[in-house]
Amino acid sequence: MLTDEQIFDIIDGCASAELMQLHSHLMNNSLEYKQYFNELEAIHLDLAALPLEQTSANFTEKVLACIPEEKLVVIHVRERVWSRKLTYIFGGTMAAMFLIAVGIIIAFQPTSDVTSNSPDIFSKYVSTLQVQYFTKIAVLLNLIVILVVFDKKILRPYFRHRKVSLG
Amino acid sequence: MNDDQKNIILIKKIKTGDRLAFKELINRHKNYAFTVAFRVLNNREEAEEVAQDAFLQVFKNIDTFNFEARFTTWFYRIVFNAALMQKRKNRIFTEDIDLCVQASEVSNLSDSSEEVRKYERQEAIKKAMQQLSADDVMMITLFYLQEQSLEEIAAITEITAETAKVKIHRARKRLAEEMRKHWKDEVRSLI
Repeated sequence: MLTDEQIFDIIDGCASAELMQLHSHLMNNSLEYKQYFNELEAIHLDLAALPLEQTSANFTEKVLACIPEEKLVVIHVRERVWSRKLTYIFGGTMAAMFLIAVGIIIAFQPTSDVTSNSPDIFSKYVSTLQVQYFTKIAVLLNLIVILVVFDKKILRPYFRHRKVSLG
Repeated sequence: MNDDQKNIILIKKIKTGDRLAFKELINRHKNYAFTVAFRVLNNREEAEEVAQDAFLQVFKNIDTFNFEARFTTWFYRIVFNAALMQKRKNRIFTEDIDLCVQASEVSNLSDSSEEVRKYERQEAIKKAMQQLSADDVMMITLFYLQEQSLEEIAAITEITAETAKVKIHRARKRLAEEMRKHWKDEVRSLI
């Protein structure tokens, strides 16, 4: 007689040739073995033929109702090393420009002597520069910094999110 | 495209928040999940709840699925654990109304004796399975349901393939014993 494990190996189709030979011999010569094997094989076939159970008709809808309308899409934005220092860069630039401006004003401030003796053309030029070019450059630099910050912090994440949600 | 590839495509879509892909995934696997849970719990409502919870867990944790294992292995592990947990919760055996419904369905079958016999055998198997432990039922169900390999069953149940093989053999043997008892009772009732 074969062991149950060996019989199940035969049923599952993974028995060795030697075992199959022994099985054939027993099937022909032992009624007891034949009955036992047929019983196990019948159970095996019945189990394999068991139909799938069906869920209720609205099963899928019930599951979908339990999940939020829109799953939040997590965007992993890689933070650049320099972007952490952006605030300091901005503040530092502003402070440096302020100091330069103060320095220029102090350095080229017209004295009372010069003013009284001769018309100070250089001071006039610097004064014009201060009013026209320097202010314009300062404004322009500020604008550039603001634009860069706006682009990094708002525009890029926004368009990346749009791209992801559009698939 | 095979089932695994289809599952992978659906999961990738679900990861981007595609609800339709999730719906398709549910429709593809709901009957298998439900059958696994139902065979263990023997109660339709509880089995549906377990299957639903399993799908919700899939949705919640979809970002953690890294495609290293098959989706079905990962998914059936969730269903397996949820069903066993539910089984442990309700130790008290509750008779399922469905059995009565199924019994009434016999009368709706055609008169073919072969069909009736087949139905009776299937019912006997289901009844015999109810007498087995949740572990045995799970082993048999996983082995026969989607023809999972021993390695996959081992991965689902977190045991070795060799242990899985032994457990399946033992479970089938116990089922055979239960079936024998059932048929003896049937014969006795006829006498």
